[in-house]
Amino acid sequence: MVEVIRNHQAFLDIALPHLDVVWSLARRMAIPPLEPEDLVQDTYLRAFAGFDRYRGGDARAWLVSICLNTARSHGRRAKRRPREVPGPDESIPSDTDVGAEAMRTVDREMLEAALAELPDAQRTAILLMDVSGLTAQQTAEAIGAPRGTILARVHRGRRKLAQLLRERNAIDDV
Amino acid sequence: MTCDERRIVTYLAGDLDPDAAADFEHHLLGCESCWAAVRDDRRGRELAEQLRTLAPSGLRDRVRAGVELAATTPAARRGLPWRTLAAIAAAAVVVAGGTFVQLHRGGDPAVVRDVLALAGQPAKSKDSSTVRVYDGRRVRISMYEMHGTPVALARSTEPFPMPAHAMPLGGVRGEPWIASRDGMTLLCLSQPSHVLLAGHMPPADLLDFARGLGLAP
Repeated sequence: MVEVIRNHQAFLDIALPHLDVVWSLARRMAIPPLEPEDLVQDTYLRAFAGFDRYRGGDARAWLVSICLNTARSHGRRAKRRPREVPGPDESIPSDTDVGAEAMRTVDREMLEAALAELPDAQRTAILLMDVSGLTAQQTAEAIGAPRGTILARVHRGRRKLAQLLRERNAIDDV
Repeated sequence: MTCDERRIVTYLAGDLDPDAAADFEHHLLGCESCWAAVRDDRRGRELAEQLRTLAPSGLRDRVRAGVELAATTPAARRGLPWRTLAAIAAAAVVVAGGTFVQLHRGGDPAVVRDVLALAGQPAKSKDSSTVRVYDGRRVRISMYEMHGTPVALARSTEPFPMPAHAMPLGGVRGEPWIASRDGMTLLCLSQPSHVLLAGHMPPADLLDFARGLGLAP
C-alpha cells in the first residue's frame, strides 16, 4: 500500500498536478450562482478534508469523483441545469492520436454548445472519460453505474456530438 | 442497447477477444451502419478531447492558499466540515484575486485601522516597533518587510477584535480569522500567541511570513 504522508504539502503535491483536469470538469459542471473557480476550490478543500482516508491510487480519478459529487450537491440546491456555454479558452493538446483533420477547424463555442445539448448522463460520461481522462471503470465507480452502461452512454454521446457538429457544418461530412 | 450497438461498444472498448475483433473488423468492411457508428464514436471522442482546458492563471495559487489556510486552523486538523473550509478558501480567492469587496475602514476597530494604515505606508517612514494602548490593552506593533512589501505585526496578550466581514477560520467567531481591505490581507492568529498581521499580499504569503517568525504552526 502506498504510504501517504498526511500533511497539506503532501496533499498539494498529489492533487495540484490535476488542477487542469478538475478545472475542465468544473467549468462545465458548475451551476450558477456557483462559479467554476469556487467549485474547484470546494473540490480541493473537500479532498483535503478527506485526505486522511485517501489510500493512494489514481489521484485524478479521486479528485474528479469529488468534483462531480460536489457539483451535484450544488446542483441539487440550484435545481436546474446550466445552459450557459462557457467561453473559449486555451486548449490542452491531446495526448492521443487526434487524427486532426476536423479538429483544427471546429469552433470552440459550437463544440461547447453541442456538448451542452447532450442528455446529462451522456454529457457526464463524456466529461469524465474523454475530457477528464478516466477509464470506463473509474467513470462507472464515480457515477455509480455499471461499466457497460457507461460505455453505452459515452458511445451515444460521442456519436451525438459528432452528428450535431456535422449538421452545423462544423466538421466534414466524411 | 441494441444487439449491434452492444457489439460496437464492446469492440470500441477493446473488450472483444482477438478472433471476435477480427470478425467484427471484417464485418465493418461491408456494413455502412456499423462503420458510421465506429467513425462517429472516434470523431466524437476527438472532439470531446478538444474540451480539455488549462486552468486560469492564478487558480493554482488560490487553491494552494486555501489549502494552506485550512491546514493552519486547528479546526481543520480536527476535521472541519468542508463547507467551512470552502469559506476559508473563498476568502483566499477573493484576496488573491484582488476582487474582494471594497470595505470601509471607518467601522473597523482602532487597532485594525492602525495596523492597516502602517502596512500601507512606505517602509522607510516607519518605526520598527511601537507600543499602543487600545481599550486599556497594550499592543506592540512591529514593522517588517517581506520581499520589499511592508508587513505590520501587532502582538497582544489578549484576543484581537474581529472586524465586520472577517472570515473566521475556526468555524466560530473569534481567532483565527482573515479579512481583506482594499487589497490588503489581514490575518489574525491565536496560537502560540495573539497576533494580527497586515500586508499587501496573498493570504498564503502572509501565512508564510507568520510561520517564518514562529507565529503559526
